[in-house]
Amino acid sequence: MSRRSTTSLTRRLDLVAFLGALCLFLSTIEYLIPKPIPFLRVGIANLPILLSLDLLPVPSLVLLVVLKVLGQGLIGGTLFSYVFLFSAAGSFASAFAMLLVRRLLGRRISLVGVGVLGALFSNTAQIVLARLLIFGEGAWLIAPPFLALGTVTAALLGVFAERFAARSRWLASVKET
Amino acid sequence: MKLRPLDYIALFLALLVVGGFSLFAYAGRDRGGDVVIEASGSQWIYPLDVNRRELVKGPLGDTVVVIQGGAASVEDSPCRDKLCVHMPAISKPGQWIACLPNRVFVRVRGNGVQKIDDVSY
Repeated sequence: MSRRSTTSLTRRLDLVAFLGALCLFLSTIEYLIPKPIPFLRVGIANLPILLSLDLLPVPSLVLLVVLKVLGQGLIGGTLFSYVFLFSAAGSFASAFAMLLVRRLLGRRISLVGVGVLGALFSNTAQIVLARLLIFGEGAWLIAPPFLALGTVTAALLGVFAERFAARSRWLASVKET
Repeated sequence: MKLRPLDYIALFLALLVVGGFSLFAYAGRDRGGDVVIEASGSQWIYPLDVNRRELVKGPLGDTVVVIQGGAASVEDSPCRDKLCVHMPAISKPGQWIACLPNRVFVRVRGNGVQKIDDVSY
């Protein structure tokens, strides 16, 4: 391996570690936000994932999602419970959807659309799991408000991500390297 | 920041899925099931959303079961205490009214979805 590619690999791993840490931090912030409705989540821990879609190659992105899921499990104390399964399924489903959409459509779709589709996949995956594992047919009753709220928060987060991506000097400097 | 056309398509898609799930989850399910009447070894099943009035034969005479506005109640019964007559109308799966002296048992049977009474977090 040449010297140059080693440094770029190190740099990429540094970036994944940093973004993973950011996911962890944002997960704690997510817990601080009061929730009037139990299954309402803002999903701010998805912000690093959203930003890294244009930044990281697929293997690094998968690593980042693993870090995010582990971090959320640690902070929520749900690492060894069935809740972890939901978190993992949702995160991977949404990351897969967002990556696919971004790679296929590129700049023709903004992070708002990408995030909304990601939330849609995440929430649908979790509802299907809930249907299979816990609630039975009753799971369908929770689905509409769950999906609707997810769409709204994802769109807001997408607006923030898009603005951040347009203005952040840090992001621009990372992109160059 | 400007939304691009594909963003609107994504939002529209999300709305479509929400709408689809709403229809699937709520349409037609709230009418909630059947009324099952059991008396003298027989069983009758009536839909909860069709108004009707049934005379059910028991050892003491006829018990009058009324289904109206999605709920079932006992209007009259030839028993002593009239407990069944005083019971409120039933509409949710699992609820029941019984007239023990006349051996009439009325219950609501669920239509697939068993509604959750309450959830706490």
